[in-house]
Amino acid sequence: MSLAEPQSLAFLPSHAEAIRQQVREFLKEHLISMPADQRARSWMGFDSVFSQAMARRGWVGLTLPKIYGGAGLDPFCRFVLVEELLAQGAPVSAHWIADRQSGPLIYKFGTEKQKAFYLPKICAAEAFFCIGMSEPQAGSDLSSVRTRAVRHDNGWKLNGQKLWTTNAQHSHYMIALVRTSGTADDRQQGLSQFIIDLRSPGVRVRSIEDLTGDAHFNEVFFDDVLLDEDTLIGTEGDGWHQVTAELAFERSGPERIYSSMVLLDTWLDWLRKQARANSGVTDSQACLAGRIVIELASLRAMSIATTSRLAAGESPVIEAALMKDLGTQLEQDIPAWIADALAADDTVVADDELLRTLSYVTQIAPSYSLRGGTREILRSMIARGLGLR
Amino acid sequence: MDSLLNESANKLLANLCTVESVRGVELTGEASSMWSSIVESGFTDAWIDEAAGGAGLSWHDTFGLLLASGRYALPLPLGASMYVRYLLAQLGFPTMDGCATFSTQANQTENGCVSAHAVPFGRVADWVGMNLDGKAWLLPTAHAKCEGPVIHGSLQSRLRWTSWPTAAIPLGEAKPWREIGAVLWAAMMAGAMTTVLERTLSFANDRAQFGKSIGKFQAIQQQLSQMAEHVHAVQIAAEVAFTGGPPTAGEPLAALAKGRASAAVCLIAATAHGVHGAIGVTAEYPLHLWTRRLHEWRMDFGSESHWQRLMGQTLLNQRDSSALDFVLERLSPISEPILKPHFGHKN
Repeated sequence: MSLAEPQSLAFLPSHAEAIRQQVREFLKEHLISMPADQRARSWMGFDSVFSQAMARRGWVGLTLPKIYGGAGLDPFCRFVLVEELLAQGAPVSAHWIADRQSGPLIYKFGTEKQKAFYLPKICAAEAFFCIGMSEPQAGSDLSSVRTRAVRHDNGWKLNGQKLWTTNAQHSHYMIALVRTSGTADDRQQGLSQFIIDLRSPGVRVRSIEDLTGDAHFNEVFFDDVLLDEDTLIGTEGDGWHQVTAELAFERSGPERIYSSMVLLDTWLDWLRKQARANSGVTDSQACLAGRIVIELASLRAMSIATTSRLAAGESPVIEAALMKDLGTQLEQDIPAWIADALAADDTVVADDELLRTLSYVTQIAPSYSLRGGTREILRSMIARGLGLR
Repeated sequence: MDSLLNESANKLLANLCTVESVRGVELTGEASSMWSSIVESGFTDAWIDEAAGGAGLSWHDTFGLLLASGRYALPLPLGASMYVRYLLAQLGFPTMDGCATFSTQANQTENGCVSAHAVPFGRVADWVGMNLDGKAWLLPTAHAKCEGPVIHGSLQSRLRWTSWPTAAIPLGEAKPWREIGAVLWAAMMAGAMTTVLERTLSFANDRAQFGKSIGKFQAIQQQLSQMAEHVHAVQIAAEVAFTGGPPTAGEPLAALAKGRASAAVCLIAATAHGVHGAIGVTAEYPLHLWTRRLHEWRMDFGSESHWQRLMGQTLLNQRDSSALDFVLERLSPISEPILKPHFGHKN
């Protein structure tokens, strides 16, 4: 079917809606004392105690089978869980990557032994993961990675460096894309994925402070790190194909529309308070609120359509890219628009929590269209899907 | 969406609305034979109960039909006529001859004179639905004057009745013409945008410069990808609104559909023309059949600002509602039960 044709509209089934109230009650209890500017960090907010409390409810590794400690639920249930977590700004960072990428990757490509070892730990929020993709010379051009594993005794010896690795300083494991044969000129050929225990000798992690004063990015150095045979995940030389599948998990779902929701709700509450104290809202404030919510509702419907394709066992890579590009645009527009609206009348004083939330989101927003593939990379994928090359 | 209906609608409209026939209607304002073919197809009575001779389809079932009417630039108000025929059937009146459109900018002066401004499809419609003094009316255009604004190629017109038309049909309480129009037009716009995207993609692959098709240049690819994103967003926003059945006054789903569709028009039309280059603004090349319509339909029944403002006011009046709560309660696709158009709108 041509990509110009409408996607089939999909609905959230009632069994998925049924978990929403439970999640809301859980979040009410856990987020009660957290200010908006903390909640705005959401998937940058690291809190292992929170993640373990979620795990006790069965909400980490939700879609993994029960035999591995998962809940055996479908992508629709995950959609509801995730949209509640992100819209309210729950600090999900600790288990986030393992839940959405590493767990599904291990389940799809891992050996039975690997699945039995890692998946229950992921579902218990006892194993946190980071993803080693980018390097100093391999950003959007991921296939030019130079970190290399060579055969050594009954395993591998790893040397090289990863960069921009989110959460490496807190994680137990990294799933890294490295070269196992050929050179950087061989591009997608000769790449493999390994699960690296970050406590191994020869691994060094250095945090990189970001412009908001937080640290989530890291540099990770590998100096003669010995890996046993069991650390290879999937097929040797098939790393590129596996990473592509992994990024499809990363790009679909409601993750890519809700990053600025805490800011939006904080602003809406402030507007309502202002309206009660003064004389209602201005037309331009109402227009902006409407504009945002119209975009949000459209994106959410697109996201549910994509989720239903995932639930049907398809891999809607292009549709996910399309939704992500549009979604991150809205996430980035929200702080820009709200800043303009707040200062449109310079006699109005906004409250501190709103201003702190706005500044945080404004400053970190550029990363929304970087993580998991830049805007330009996504649009190139869409162009290919549209038949343009 | 009903796939059988969808398929036969696309087939019929593809045959009926050739570039030549659409241009012909725009030139002459004469479309009665085209309308007869549509009436013969039975699509016009899709929402009327089977017992009353209609097809008994839901509003959502017919989304693909309305989408197709925009896709083929049908120069007739199919959706508006379907709604009026549905209203007449509900009232037990015989159906009307010819097609009908709506006006939300109509007023009546003391001597019985009625003016309706910027009536979409005003040049080809035989009837116009409107509210006058809190009551809904269907006015025949037979004795109305088309008074401009005379826009090249446009079917829009100001209509003026110098005396009250005796054949006017009373339709009871005021109807939410604006919301109904917004939802129908959003589907037509989604269809027109689909065609504009398809035509632009195929042009980009065919047209070569610097020794390769222009679609191979990253600058063009980035623009077309962005255009496709917006077309998808409009398609889905319009369909979500159709799952809600016929909108009542102030319905947020109407604001979703028309607000999203209107907001995308400029980017989509500008990208299409930019990629086409000079040929795209010629009379001979048919891109303008869709881009002219998109710019006009953007304004019909309220532009994006109208619907954004309405949506924002509704949202801000909900005291303890988060943005997600509002989207869940008011702006999500409704799966069950399948809603049929109903009579007696809550205002």
